[in-house]
Amino acid sequence: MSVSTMKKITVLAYEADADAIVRRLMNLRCVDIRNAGTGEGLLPIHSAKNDARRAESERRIAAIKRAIPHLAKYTSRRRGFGRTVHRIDRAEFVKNGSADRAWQAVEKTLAAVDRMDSLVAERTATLQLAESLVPWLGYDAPLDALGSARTSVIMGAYPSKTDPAMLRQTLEEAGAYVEVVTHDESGLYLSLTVLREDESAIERLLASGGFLKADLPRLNATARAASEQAEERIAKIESELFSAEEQLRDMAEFLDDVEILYDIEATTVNVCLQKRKLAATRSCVVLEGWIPADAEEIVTHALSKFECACELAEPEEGEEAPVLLRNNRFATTFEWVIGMYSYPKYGTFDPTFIMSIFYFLIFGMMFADVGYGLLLVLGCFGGIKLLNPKPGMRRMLAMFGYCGISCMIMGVLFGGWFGNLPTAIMNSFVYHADGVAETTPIGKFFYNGLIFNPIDSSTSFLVLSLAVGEIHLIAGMAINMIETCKKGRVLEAICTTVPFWVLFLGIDLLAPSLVVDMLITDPAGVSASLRETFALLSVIGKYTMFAGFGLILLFNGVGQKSFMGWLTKGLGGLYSLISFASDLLSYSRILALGLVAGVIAQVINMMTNMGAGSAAGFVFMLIVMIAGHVLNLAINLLGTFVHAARLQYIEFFGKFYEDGGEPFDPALPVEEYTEELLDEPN
Amino acid sequence: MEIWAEIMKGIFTGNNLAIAGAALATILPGIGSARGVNMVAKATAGLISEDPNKYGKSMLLQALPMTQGIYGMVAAFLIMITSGIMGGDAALAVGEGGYYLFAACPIAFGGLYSAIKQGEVAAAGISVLAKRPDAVGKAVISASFVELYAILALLISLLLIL
Repeated sequence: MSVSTMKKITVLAYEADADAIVRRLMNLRCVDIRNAGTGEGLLPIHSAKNDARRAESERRIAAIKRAIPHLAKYTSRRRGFGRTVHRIDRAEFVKNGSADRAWQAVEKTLAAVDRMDSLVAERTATLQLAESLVPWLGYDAPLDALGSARTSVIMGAYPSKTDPAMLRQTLEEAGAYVEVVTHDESGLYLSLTVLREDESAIERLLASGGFLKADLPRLNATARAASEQAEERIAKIESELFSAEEQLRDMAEFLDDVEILYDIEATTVNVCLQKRKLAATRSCVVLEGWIPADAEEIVTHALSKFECACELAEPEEGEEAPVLLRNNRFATTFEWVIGMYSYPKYGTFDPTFIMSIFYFLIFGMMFADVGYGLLLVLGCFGGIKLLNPKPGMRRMLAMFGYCGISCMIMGVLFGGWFGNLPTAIMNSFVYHADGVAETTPIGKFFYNGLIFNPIDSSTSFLVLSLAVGEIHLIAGMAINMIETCKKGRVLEAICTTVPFWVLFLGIDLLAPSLVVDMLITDPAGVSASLRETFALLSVIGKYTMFAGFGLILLFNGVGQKSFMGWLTKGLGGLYSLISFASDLLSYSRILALGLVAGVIAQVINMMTNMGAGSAAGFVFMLIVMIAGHVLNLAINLLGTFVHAARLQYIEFFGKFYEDGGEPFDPALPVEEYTEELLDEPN
Repeated sequence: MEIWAEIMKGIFTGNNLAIAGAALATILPGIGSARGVNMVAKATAGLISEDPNKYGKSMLLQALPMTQGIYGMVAAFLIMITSGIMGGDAALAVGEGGYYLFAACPIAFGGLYSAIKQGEVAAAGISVLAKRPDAVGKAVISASFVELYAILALLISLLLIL
């Protein structure tokens, strides 16, 4: 639970080694390479060769990205749900020629895909041609015989419902020789032979009757012969397609290698990008960056293999080192919640661990249900097991998995099992009456939980929510106090914190006698002696509270030089109580979200119980119930996540947090499909 | 005049008032959700015409303003069940029916307005998705803050009805 100490690293090496050094540091995964300063004989690195290399790798990446989906379609590799990860030694993969073979496979694949595309296009065109020839199969003149010096041939079709006899008569009167080729439901297909001088008059006549000229290829063959040719061509295309497909199937064997090649090329791109950050002299390069202090040994050891000079330094005054958070296994999964807000400034307190505990607690209270919690646990931890997600996703799933555990614990405490599902089932199948199961011991356990049911005792749950809020806020103040003490301002730390705690203590002592009547409506539930104790506490609380007011007024301004400064600070302290009150009330959202999830679940159970009389109804309602609960889970999961985070960001962090840290971003090899075998430190 | 009194008596029965409550709780948040989803979906259409691959990511933003309609339906169901309208043996007094009508008001109006406003935020989130896909999570969070007021409205309605 700390922000890792950073060291600034400067490496001076021969330009020839630059590539190897950057790769080596990348594989160590703990060097955040920064832009090296130029000036004083240092120039930006000569980048032409580097950029050409990157362009080549990017071209290959584009090709590989195009090829992979095609290969994946034909691969015989067993496809699981998860991400397949090959663990290989990339250097060996390049050295033994597998990389070259994989690249050839990519090129062949893309050639085959392109050929298939053009074949498919040709097949479509040929099929269309064959189809357009069908009505003309009975026409025995070549298709390009469109007349002689004196005559002209017009081919085309009338709509099907045209009367051929009438038409023939009309056209023959106009001077055309008419040959009906086909007459079916698609149209009346005609070939007209006309004298050239009559042609325009006849065309006008044709257009008025809805005649459409046929768009036929000018082939020196009859329609039948052309159609046969097209069929032959299609058969040939089919066989070529088949062989191209066979080739893809063969290439698909290389899918694994192609995926490895992708990672290699993408890593090369990253190496080139990192190298652009270096500065250069005539024959040397300078690399600057940040490493965690505890990685010093590994990095210097790795660099000792090269002829280079390496210097490590503490961050200078005013220099912002990047922030790397170090936490235990549980809290690490919550780091991204902090990242969504902002990392803490370098050298300040890392609140991840404390925040993770409160987040865990508050998430559970907002979504107190064993059933939903179990679904979260199964979904998230199962997802990690089955899908093998990338590290970022893995952490997020683990966090929601932990939160699911919290939901289950709170569900047992506050009686949430998919809402009131157990008692609803007992009522409708065992007791056949409403409200009976809740009174039996088992039903009581499921309905009320170990403490109480928030829906029936919403005031109690509100008080509990505010109490959690108070502890959360006090924790925030305590962190602030400790941090201020560390900076050497002990007196200020105590004077601006403890008086508020005195006031809070007073209010806490006062509270039981105020809320006891709201919480416990049964007068017999509170014994007289307990009431007396509460009354006594409230008297003590009253005086403590006033003492708190006084202490705030007196001590909040300690350290101010003038009387006015002291008074203003003191009054300001009292005024700030308003913001405390609003912070505290903000925790009532725990009640709101907790109740809504529970009540919606109850309504779903109620609805489904009503329809579950017959066997068919039972099955239907079971489906409705499952869908309803899944929907409820989805709606409330997002709300709970957001509002549990908001209570950290605004209310908790507001008390102490110094934000604005820049995340530590080490140069990493690309591991989309493979995991680079970590090379040995020797 | 008498006939009017008769008609009024026939319309404003306890049962009908409770039904009006259930109807309001369904209709108004439904209108709000329809409007909200409509806004986000239109923005999404612009986005996917540029980049169809982002549709999956846009779905969450589109789904956000849907919840108010669901909340309204939950409240309506609860009114129908607790008042006995769904069981068929309801004979509510005018005052009792009126109680359900007023109890439906928070989610009816809160849902209507918050769904439209949430739709506006989510539609703006679509343009975040277009320009900075990595920041879309933050846009989702902004939009889900508006949701809180629908949750509060639903909570009060439910507590009144139960």
